[in-house]
Amino acid sequence: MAELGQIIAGVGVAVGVTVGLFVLVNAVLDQAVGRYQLFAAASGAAIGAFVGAVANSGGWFLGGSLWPSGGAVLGAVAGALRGLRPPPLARRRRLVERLRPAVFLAPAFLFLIVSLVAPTIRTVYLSFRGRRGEELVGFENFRSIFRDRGIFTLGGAGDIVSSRLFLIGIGLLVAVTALTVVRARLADRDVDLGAPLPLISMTTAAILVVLAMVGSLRAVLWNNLYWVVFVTMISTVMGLVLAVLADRARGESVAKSLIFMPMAISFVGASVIWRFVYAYTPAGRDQIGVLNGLWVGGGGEPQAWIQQAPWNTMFLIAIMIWIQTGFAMVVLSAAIKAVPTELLEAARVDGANDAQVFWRITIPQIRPTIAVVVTTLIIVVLKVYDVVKVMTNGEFGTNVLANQIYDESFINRDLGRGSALAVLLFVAVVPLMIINVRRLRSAAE
Amino acid sequence: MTAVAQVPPAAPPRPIGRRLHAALGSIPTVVLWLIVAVWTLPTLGMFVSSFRAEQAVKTTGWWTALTDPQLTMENYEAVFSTAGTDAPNMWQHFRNSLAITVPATLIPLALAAFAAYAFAWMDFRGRGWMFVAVVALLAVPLQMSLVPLLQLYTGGAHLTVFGETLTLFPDLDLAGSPTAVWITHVGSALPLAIFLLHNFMASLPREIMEAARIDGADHPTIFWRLVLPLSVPALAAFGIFQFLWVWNDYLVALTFVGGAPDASPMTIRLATLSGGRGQDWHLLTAAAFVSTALPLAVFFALQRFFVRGLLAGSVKG
Repeated sequence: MAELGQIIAGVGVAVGVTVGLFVLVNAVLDQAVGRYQLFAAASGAAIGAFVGAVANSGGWFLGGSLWPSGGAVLGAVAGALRGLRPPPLARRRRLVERLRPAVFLAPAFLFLIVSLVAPTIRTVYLSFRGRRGEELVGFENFRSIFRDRGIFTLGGAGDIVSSRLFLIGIGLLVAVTALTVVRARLADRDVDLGAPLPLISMTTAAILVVLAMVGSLRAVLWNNLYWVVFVTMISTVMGLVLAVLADRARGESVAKSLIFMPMAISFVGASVIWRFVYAYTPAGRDQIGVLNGLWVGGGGEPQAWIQQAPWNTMFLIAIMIWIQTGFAMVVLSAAIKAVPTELLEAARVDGANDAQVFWRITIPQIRPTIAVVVTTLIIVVLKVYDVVKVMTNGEFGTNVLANQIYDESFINRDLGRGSALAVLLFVAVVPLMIINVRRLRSAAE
Repeated sequence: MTAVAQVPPAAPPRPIGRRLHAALGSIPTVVLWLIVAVWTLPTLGMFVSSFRAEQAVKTTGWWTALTDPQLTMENYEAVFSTAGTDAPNMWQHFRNSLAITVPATLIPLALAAFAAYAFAWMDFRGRGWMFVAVVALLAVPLQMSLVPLLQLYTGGAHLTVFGETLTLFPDLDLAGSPTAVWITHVGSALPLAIFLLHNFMASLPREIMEAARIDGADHPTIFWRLVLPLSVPALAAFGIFQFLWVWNDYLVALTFVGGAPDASPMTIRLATLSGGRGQDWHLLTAAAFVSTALPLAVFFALQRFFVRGLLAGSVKG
């Protein structure tokens, strides 16, 4: 059991060594111009110690703990001898100029290579190998993933077409498209499917269709799709609505703080909070969860919300929406406030009403920000893990990719399949990240 | 007629249109606060529950406490006490969280500041593609490094060449220790940290740097005396983001110290408590609030920096 003092000491040592080494190496490098012999001896000692340590670790020659220190002494002597006849001043200056960037970059690169680059390469390598990573299996892991009906299936796809949600969604889509085209023809204008009414109804239709899929198609990868669609859409829209409301309401900053607060809580903490909301006790006893309290109060039978497939996934998704809406709201609110007032006033002077100003000025102006919010949310949601792990542990048909990766890698101990799934996640994230970084860079310039 | 003249001119009857307008104007406020109420209800329920006795938490809804408040500190006392169990108490998990979070915040800040300065203000060959390579690492999900890192921490890394085994990374037996967790976080934090700090440092005015160089200052001097102090807002924004990210992390902690209760942070404890069949619900409420106390304090005290850090850092993972 670590005590607070020990922890402070440990942290102090770790941070001190990191910063201290950086300062020390820079100080040694400073000597290259003035006291070249000192610089040469110190760097010789460092190189000697490193070579000695590598030789020792390989068990080459005789081995033994004397190797690193012996190497250091030898290197120091060699360096000091070299330092007897230092190169001309200009070359020493250039040496410092050349080595300085390496000193600044090396510590970060060391950590990046050990804990990010090398593991990533190894995961890709493992994804083409067997359970324990011993034999090459080609694409077998990927093939077995897509054959696993728990991860990917098309069974039940036929039921979508006949489901009521799907029919209503398609009906809505057809009706609104027809209405828009007819109206445009009558008014002799171009068809504008980006206008508010078609946009809203097409979004609604899309949501209905995906809901129909939730009812019929169930597998890990499909669940990830549902998470992405609903969290991204609803959080962004709710965030936009709240940002607009807050702009005109009293108590704006307090209200925004309260909506944003879930972002500060861990996903685990948020899940625990929502376990209480969804809590279930059999009929006849007092309900302790708010949702069942309201449901039973309204005359319903108590429901085990998070255990009843297929809609339990939607109750888990609601938790993520609760967390991410604050993020969308804060980002979009900042963008809305940054829309130039002259533009808005000019539109009003021209006789535009509030709705027109919003759809024709504000939305186009904040479109880049909306795109950032959407891509960011998709990336976050693709990796969703904690909520599912804590709420259902992936049971009752709620499993998602990140939880499947964990189960394959650390519970089934099938490193090949676990790694192949991780590679899938990686491949899904890359294009989004490229879009996002491009935008962030252009925003920074 | 005199009665009419006596009506104070300050209160003319308001036209009905304006009153309607005022009523319409308050709709956003009403709707907003309704949503806020729904949004805060789950957290409020948890907060109220944490002050209710075990029996009450398990048998009645928390809202009954609003009309019949019988509040107690028992749950908080229970999560902080060591009596009766071998499991570490919440203080231990709090300290473990600190032991992981503080180095996982400070070390990447330092390393990223060095590297970001080099990318922003030094001339060297390969600067462009090296920076792009670092930024490209942003796309790598945590899941890509967990299995290899666990193998690295438990057995080191070895390469066999011509029948000789070369140790690339010694077996440090790190699995089950906070060190394994924070080293992992340092690596995964660096691409974002370097990217953000570089963007900030590169936007500092060139004239200041040139003036300092003319005065004879070398790179370490410019870095420590000039760039680092000027970069405090960016450092604070990233620092807060990283602190909360690591404090709230569950996946990395579960992978490396999930099997070691003595070393596990609060998120692990919380998830374990939550995994039971409801027998520990009264403890869960208090534990949830203990674990969110620090992030919430940071959130309310440093909201400006927090928002900035979050906006910049939300692509992480």
